[in-house]
Amino acid sequence: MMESVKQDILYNHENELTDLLQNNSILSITDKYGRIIYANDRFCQIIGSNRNNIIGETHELIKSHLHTDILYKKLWKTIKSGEVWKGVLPNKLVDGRFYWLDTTITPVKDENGDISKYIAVYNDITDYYNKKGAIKMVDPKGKTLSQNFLNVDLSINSFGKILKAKNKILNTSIDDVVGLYVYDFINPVSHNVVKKQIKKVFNERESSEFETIEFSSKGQQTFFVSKIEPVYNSHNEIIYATIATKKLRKNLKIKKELRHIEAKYSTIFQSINVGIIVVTDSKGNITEWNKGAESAFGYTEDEVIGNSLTMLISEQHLITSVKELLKAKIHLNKKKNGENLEMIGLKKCGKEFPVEFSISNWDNGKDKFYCAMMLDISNRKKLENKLKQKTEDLELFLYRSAHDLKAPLTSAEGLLNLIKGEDINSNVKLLTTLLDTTLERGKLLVDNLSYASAIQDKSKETNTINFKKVIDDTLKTLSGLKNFESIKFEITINQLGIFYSNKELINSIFQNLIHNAIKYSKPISNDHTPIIKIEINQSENKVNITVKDNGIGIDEKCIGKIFDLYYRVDNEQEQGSGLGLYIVKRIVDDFNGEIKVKSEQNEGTFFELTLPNFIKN
Amino acid sequence: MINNITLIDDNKIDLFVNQKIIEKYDSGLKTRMFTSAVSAINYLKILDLNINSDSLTKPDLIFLDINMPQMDGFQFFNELRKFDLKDPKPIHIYMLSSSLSLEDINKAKSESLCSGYITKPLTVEKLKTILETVSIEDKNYNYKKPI
Repeated sequence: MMESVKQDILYNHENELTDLLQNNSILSITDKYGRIIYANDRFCQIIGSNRNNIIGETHELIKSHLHTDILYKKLWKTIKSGEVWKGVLPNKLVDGRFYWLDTTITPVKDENGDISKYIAVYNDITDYYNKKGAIKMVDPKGKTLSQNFLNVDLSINSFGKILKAKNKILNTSIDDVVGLYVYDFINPVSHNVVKKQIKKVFNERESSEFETIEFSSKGQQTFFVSKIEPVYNSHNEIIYATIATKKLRKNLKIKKELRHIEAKYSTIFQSINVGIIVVTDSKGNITEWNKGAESAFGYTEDEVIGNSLTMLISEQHLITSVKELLKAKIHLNKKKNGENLEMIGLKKCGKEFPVEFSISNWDNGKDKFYCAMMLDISNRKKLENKLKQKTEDLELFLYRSAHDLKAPLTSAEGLLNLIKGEDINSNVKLLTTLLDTTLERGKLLVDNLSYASAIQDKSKETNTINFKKVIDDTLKTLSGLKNFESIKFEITINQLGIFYSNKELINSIFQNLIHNAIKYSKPISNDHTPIIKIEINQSENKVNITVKDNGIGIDEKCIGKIFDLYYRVDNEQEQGSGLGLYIVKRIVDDFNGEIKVKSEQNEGTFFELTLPNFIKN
Repeated sequence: MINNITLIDDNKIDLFVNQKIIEKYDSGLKTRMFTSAVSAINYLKILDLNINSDSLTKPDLIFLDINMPQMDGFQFFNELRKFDLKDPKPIHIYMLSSSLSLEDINKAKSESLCSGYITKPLTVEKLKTILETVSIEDKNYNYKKPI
């Protein structure tokens, strides 16, 4: 019966009802997901938007900065459970003004009992609110708000809802303050900070002190310190928390300086050409991003913040790069020194480029932050590659030149041999011997030059090294030298396991060192026996080689130069090419080894080498 | 027995020196000289076609330089391999170079037609050793040859 009456009214008075609703209330209907499917003219007016733009949008549209998410969560929880929600929703207009809407949202169920839509009816109560002066409407960037409860003791629950107040806030009476949220009086910028602090107090049962910054409309900053303390009941449960706030006056001067510094650094940070990326520890997500980083990678701040750093690294090199990063992180945590690493970066457009990060870190309470200063090293890499190519070219040039120079020298030697075979007088004979030594020296120089230029190529090839054989062979080739017979060799070899290196270059090291030891030995006499001691100690991953003689030694002044290219010790009898020890040093460097020399004039010289074992993988 | 020696070298002074050394060792030896590997190859080709010609004699031993323009010593071997010599008796070819480079020496070692590698300048002693080795090889070669 009732149903039919209802039907009748609806049917007969449909137009009147619609008109009534259209003119006197603000009305919107949303689907179960919160998307607006109907809005009347007044709703559109309030929103300040065209109906076409509203339909299909979510209720987010009427969400303002002034209320916490909790309000909306509660709202949704209520209506989703099929109950009617009543409350005041603020709505910010395009021009910055606020509307306060007394809102009733009613869920509508379909025949199955499932909620299919929500009908919301709003009443504009802005005038009433403004008259009451309950809340100063504040633009997020606008006036200070914490100031509003300076020295005011409030009791709040874990959602920040005000339960009790000792004094009124501004013009709001104690009664009216109760039931509002602390967030209503706080700069939205600080909402999250405060939310976290309140949560902490209730969860960790500890009092908490925090600072907030408020900006006045002139852009001036004021610092506040607030203290939240939990209040327990007899069962040791937190019933509520008190919050007290005061302006920071004592530190005003320091704060002013800090403000300057902050302004200075934030300007530098944003404007600097060098890319700076700040990353937090826990997930490796990017928290700060400046213009330099933007221009290098092509991503804007919005696209990057909150994402993982890995989005900036070339996929191909991701694993190695991440390993490098982790290594750098461990290193940083230990030593606190900056760490540099090179990797391949990935731009937004997909282009890869070489990049160098200078990574530093700092702690802020429990949080760890990592800052990566980034340098685009494309140009440097290009130059490095060019330099590498040039060096290779130069070595090849040296090799070819040395090689080609040898040909005329051997031709001359051939001619000289013919001359020696002719019937010549003793004067010419003397000249031919001099020419002979000159040519020999020329050939030695050219050979060493071509050898030195080929060291790098040769070192790539590895063979097994038998040190005993190397030394035996070397002594055999050197046996033709003057004084060789008079020298006593003391050789100790401790070779454990297999040693891998380049046979030819190892030979060359021994050849040069032993040759020098023989060349600069003192002649045998009644009270002097020339001795050359060679000791080889091989462990698993390296070998230690020492060559010690009791010869003429090296002048202290010259000892720093002996590994230099073309450096020669003055010696009347012997003249080398000035390349022997240079070659030894080059080889040792190429092997990533070490060479040390100690010498005392008239006492002898001592060479010590350490070379790594190139164990085959 | 070695009677004919051929020298291939782009350097005329080296050719002169080598010729003198050969003369000095045994003035009875005949030498023929080429300043390029290309002309030496052409000569060997003609020789192969007119094997009975009196004016042309097949060399028993060749001294071959490595670094030459147009065709180097190693390319000479490749050319030589392209035509099968009708006369089965092999020619002993020695590389004679001033190069001490391992790369050259190894390349020469792996060349099947190359009998050996000697460094310049050629001396009477070096020549003597080669001729001795070569005649032993020839004897063995003849001996092994089936009748």
